[in-house]
Amino acid sequence: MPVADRFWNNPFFVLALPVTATSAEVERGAQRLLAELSIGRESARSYATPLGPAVRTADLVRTAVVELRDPARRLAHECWAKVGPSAPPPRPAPLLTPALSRQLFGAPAARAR
Amino acid sequence: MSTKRPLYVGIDLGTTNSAAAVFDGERVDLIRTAQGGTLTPSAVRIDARGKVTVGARARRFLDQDPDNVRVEFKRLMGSQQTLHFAASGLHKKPEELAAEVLRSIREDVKAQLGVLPGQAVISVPALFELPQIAATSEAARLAGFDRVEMIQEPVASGLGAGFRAEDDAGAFLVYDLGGGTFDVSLLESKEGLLRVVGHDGDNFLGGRDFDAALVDHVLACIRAESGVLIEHDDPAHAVTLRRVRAAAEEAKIELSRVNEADVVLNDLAVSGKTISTSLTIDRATLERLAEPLVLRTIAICRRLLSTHGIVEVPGVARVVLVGGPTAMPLLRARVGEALGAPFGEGLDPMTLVAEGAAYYAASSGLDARGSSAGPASAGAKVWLQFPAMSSDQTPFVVGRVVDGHDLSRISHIVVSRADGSWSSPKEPVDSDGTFTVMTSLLPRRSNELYIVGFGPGEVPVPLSPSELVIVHGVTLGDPPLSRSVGVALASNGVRVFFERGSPLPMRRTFALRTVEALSPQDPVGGLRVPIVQGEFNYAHLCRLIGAIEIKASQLEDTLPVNSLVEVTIELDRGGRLSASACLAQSKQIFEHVALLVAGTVSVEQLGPRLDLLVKRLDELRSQSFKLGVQRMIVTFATADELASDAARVVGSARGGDPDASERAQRLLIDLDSLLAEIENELAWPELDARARRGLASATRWVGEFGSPAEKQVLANALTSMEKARVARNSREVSVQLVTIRHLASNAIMRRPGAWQEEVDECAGKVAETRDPRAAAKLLDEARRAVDRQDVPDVERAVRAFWALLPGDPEDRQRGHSSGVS
Repeated sequence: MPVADRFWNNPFFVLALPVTATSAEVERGAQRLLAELSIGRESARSYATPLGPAVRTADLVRTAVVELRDPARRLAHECWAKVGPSAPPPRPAPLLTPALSRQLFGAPAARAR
Repeated sequence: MSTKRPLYVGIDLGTTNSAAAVFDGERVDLIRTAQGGTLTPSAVRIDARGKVTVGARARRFLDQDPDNVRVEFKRLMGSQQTLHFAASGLHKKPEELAAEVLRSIREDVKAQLGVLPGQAVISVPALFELPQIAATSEAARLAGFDRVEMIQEPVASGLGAGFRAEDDAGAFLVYDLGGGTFDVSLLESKEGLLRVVGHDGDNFLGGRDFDAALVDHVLACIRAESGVLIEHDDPAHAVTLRRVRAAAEEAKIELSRVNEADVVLNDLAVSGKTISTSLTIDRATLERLAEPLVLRTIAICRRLLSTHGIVEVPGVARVVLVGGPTAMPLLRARVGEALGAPFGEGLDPMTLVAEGAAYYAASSGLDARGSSAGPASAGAKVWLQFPAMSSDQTPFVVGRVVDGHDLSRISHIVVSRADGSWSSPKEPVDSDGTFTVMTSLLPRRSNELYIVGFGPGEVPVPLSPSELVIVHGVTLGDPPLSRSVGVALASNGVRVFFERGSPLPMRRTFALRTVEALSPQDPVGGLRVPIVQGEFNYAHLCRLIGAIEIKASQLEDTLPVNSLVEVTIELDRGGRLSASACLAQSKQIFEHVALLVAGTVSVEQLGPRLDLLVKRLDELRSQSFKLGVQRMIVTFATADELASDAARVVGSARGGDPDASERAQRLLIDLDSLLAEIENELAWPELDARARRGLASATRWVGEFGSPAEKQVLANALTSMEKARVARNSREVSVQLVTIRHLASNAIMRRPGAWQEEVDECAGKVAETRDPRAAAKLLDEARRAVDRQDVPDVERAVRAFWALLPGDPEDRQRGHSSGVS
């Protein structure tokens, strides 16, 4: 996942919850947001991140809940939510051509995924 | 059970038997068939007049009229095979036969409760792929359901077991051995919420395999006794084999209770002869035959537990057994010893899935009475959103006043419980007409709530609807996707759209590039975007489940190579897939073009494919021997076993067993992926060297040009990589290597002059590209951008140039002939 997405899609930002939120608070918060999004409540449509406001969607909320249900993944998101970005988000990585790959690693480019 | 309350129907559409349960918010009841039982055999008979009989009455004819009775069609769901009914001459798809079973169950619900259900939840095996789920959904539609959702069988069992538990059970394992499939799931119950930690299983291992082992034993006895050879791969023996199978299954069930069972087969017709036989089989024989299969299921359980870091015994608080074959004493003993945890008490392994599905219908708000079920009332119309079932005792009711005129009359909302013991504070209605009220539920009860508005001056305003019901109990979040879904690329890679475990529903769009030019005048050409499902890095190892096919003649304009195609894949809560493609240049949209395909390999192709795999296996063994790689002995033995299983199943497929053809394809994919693992293992020294070079390079370049966040990510990746190298985990090393390479390449291209140097590399490759004219133009643009020191433009042109470099044609073919990269 690109570094910037660690902030844009951070489940704690998406759900507008502190990193100390209990699992029950996560579920309740998500239930409320999903219901509000489905009826088009204005205040539910965006959320704050350290990089600026972002658009909240039902998919993002559902994904956020699933991420936080997994203890290992939750820990990683807690770290990112606490760190906050100290530099502008990096540009996407370039495709690896055979030439660039040789230059970097002395081996052909990796296959996709 | 009152029909004033909501009715939530759950159906376990099984390979051998089906069952249904109804939950009204407090009580769950099993649906009884016309014969009074709780199980409907998944059997359909069609007679010469086309009359359809379902369930026990159909199954009774299996012995005397085998050509017109079909069972176990669930194993063929989603395939292109049809099943023939000789007397009527009809051919039916598996989903049409499943629809007959579902229709029969609907009628049974009506007979018991007076309501013909329009909505329900149907369970499917956890490892069902999308074509199989789509076929199940189609079966429900054919049976007359307006709306259905799917739940994975082990999750339903877990929900059934968790709902009954008085407190949170912690981690538990659901061991589900059905007639045709084996699923095992690790679940965790916490604060009333059930979480699926992980799944594993085998789509082609079930009670029927126990029967098959017993059938082979019976055939061997017949041969020894009368010298008659009954062969699986001889179509002329198909009817006789069906009779032997039915008798073996009966004996197996009997041996769960007694020590000996008789198999009596009279007047068996074999190659022009008629023979009769009577055998006595004891439990010890059955156990000897069944033990390897039981051990296979235990190995799968251990694999699942170790994947999630559980190696000690007992690693779970309890084991929930589901499915008829789990009644076998040997199985209970072996599973109990291996897992060391107690079995769940008071749970019926035959009906637990249906009960869990009914609970899930409640949490999905699928009231079987349909949309007209809610209480109609006069008053200002409000649109309400609330969970029909909640593990939270204080869930929110969110709503919107529909009519703007009513908005001026309503300033506050109050929700109160029908028992009169609780009422919410007055919550304000926002200027956009929306409101949110926190409720309070009685635990483990169906809670009836009233909702009312208040205007200025405290005047009550009746609302419509004025009542709602929320059940408090164990719930499951959004259903997780059982296998990753993505698009196969021309490089034989996979662009993953949805990872395994993603919550459904889900919709995602990715921009891909075409790998060849297409002209509307081309009569045969086209763009193919294959959709695959599986956990492998290589497309050919994943299952092809559909494809977006765009014919060149459908194009409005010529589509140059490297054109942008935006592919959108959508999965609904039931796991139904739809896809569309938008050509960015012409804005032409191709919708609903995903064709679900499964089982496309013909029986004739199976043998040659197996031969190629066996040849590859032999070559790898020889290579391994030369390299002196000792640790592969067990893997090679597994591969040999798979190859031998595949050979036997391919033989049965040639003999006309339609199920065997599906199974053979799965075994060939499994063998193929195991060979890929062996190849990875043999390539370990090279991968390890690449990893070390990658680490050195990334440390240097990210250290010099990376952002602080990138340095942090690199540090995490280095730790994971080191762990993976110590564990010789090729897959994890490859995954971390991709991250490290991306970070390094990102950093290296930030060094001064990097893009300009790349232009010189490109200059030597114009002739190699798929479109040399376009490549030359891009090179020219890049050079001019270098001259004017415009680095972003150099980067843009170089990236476009890279996209014109060709892939390997063999890779493309293995990538399901994908036309995108």
